[in-house]
Amino acid sequence: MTPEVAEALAAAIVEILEVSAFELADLVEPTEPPADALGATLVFHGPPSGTMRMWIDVAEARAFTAAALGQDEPTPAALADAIRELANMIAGHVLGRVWTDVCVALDGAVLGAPDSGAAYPVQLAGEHGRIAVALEVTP
Amino acid sequence: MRVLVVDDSAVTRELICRTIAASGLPVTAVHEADDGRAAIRALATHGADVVITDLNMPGMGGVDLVRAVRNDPVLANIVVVVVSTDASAARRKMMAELGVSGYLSKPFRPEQLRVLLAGLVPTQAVAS
Repeated sequence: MTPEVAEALAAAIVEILEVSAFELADLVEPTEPPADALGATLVFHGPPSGTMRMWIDVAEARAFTAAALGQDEPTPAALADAIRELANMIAGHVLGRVWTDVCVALDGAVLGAPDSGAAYPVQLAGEHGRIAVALEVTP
Repeated sequence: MRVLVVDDSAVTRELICRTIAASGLPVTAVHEADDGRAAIRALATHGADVVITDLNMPGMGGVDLVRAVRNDPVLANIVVVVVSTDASAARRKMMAELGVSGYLSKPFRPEQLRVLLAGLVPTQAVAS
């Protein structure tokens, strides 16, 4: 992942949390995901083509969803929906700004456990937990 | 003014519907659809003055929906606004060339959508 993409990922998360959840977020040193972290993977097709992977702490995911819906207790379905939409927003934000002159198609984000052993080099701490992302372009 | 909100994310549809409800705009009906095909069915059933649509959706996406609307003599004059995660200049240009009247990148502030809709809605649509 290039420094430009890493910087764009961090900027995307900061903006999305601020606009959608009224939260501030700061870059932090990468750590392993906690056992109950929620993961998402999103494939995109361009060029550039590649994959974005993300995990998010449960508490942060709940806060993000609650803010988007204006509800205190989001349902599991709403939580899953919001995580997919968060992954889409991060990927769309980064791809649209780093490769602004091309139309890149995004597949829907697929939820699952974070990849064990995989690196998530860009990590930010929101007010309720972390969001960690990695974006790799296929050579 | 009748509005159709098209997005595969129920959370985003809820956010857009809440924004419209709080906007103060003269909205008489809001319907929802989760992809382009459902949107076309909703347009046939309920009609709309404004369609607010996502682009990346399973099934029929927003690009094909806009093409279908613009190619249908009955629907061609509907105001279409895109609200998408795709922030690229290329996509904005493509959608403008397809006749989209406004484009917001997600995440958006509710005020951005309200201002966009207030500036785009034709007088006759507001009166209907």
